[in-house]
Amino acid sequence: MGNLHINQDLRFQKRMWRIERGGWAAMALLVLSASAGLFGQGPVSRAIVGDPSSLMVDYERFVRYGSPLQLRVSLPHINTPDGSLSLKLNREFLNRVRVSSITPHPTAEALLSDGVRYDFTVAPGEGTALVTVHLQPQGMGPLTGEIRRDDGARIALWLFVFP
Amino acid sequence: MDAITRATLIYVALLVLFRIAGRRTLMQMTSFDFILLLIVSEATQNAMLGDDYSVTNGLLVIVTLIGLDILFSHVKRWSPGAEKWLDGLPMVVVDNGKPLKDLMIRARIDERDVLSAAREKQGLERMDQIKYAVLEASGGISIIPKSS
Repeated sequence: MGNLHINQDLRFQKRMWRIERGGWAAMALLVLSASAGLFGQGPVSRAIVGDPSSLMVDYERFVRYGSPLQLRVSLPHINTPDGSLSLKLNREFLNRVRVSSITPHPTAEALLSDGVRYDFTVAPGEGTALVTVHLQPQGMGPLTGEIRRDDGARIALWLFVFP
Repeated sequence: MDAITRATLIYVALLVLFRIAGRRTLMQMTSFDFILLLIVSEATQNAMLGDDYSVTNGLLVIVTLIGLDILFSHVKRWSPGAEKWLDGLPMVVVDNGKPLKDLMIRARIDERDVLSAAREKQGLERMDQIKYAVLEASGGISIIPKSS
């Protein structure tokens, strides 16, 4: 370029521009997938699993490290004489999350060899009980768990915790 | 450990993002660019510090960031290839008063940007008074006037 001492490299520059355009596309894709809920709080993230007649869980599949998450558990009240209802969470799951609170408060908690059982009392004649478990993930990456009812109905949970 | 990982991740992510965004993105420093810069720093702050507001953590993050900066400056000195990728290269956009339109469009600058730099830095009035205009790796435009 004349007598201009410059380390210009147009081939590299054009390559860089192509990468730049690719990067913009990646950024657009990231924003789109985030709006769809790939990183939580969107249609892709929302999971409603289970059978409304026995046990059903409504939760976010994609969560972020350090932010709280909720499992909304629907338990249809299958009549027991004392109105008791219970729900179990497995140990591997509980090892990787912190249970901040459960609404309503369980009337009792029992330690089992493979997890924890939470007991609730349902007023006579009531239909489906809704229990919300508030959790805080303690690690990153995939997180699996299992919710069980006393009568054997179980649901496998799969979550992914983003850093 | 956590502080160092966080700071490194943010440093590398910002490096890649700003490289992809192109050199002109924050180089103009209009008042809005300045605000954008402040917002970006606010947004990265929590991700870097986490929920640990101790002096130790803050210092670890700062030391990591400065350390990385020193490391990268050495890497760039040792390897011109790395410098090319990390900082980019300068490029001539006006050659003997003739704007190289194709390159300018792709670099997202136009003749007005060049003329404004020419006025500011050299007091020039017209394109034909410019011998070379170079878009520097930093994103600024430098002007070499024709000798009269």
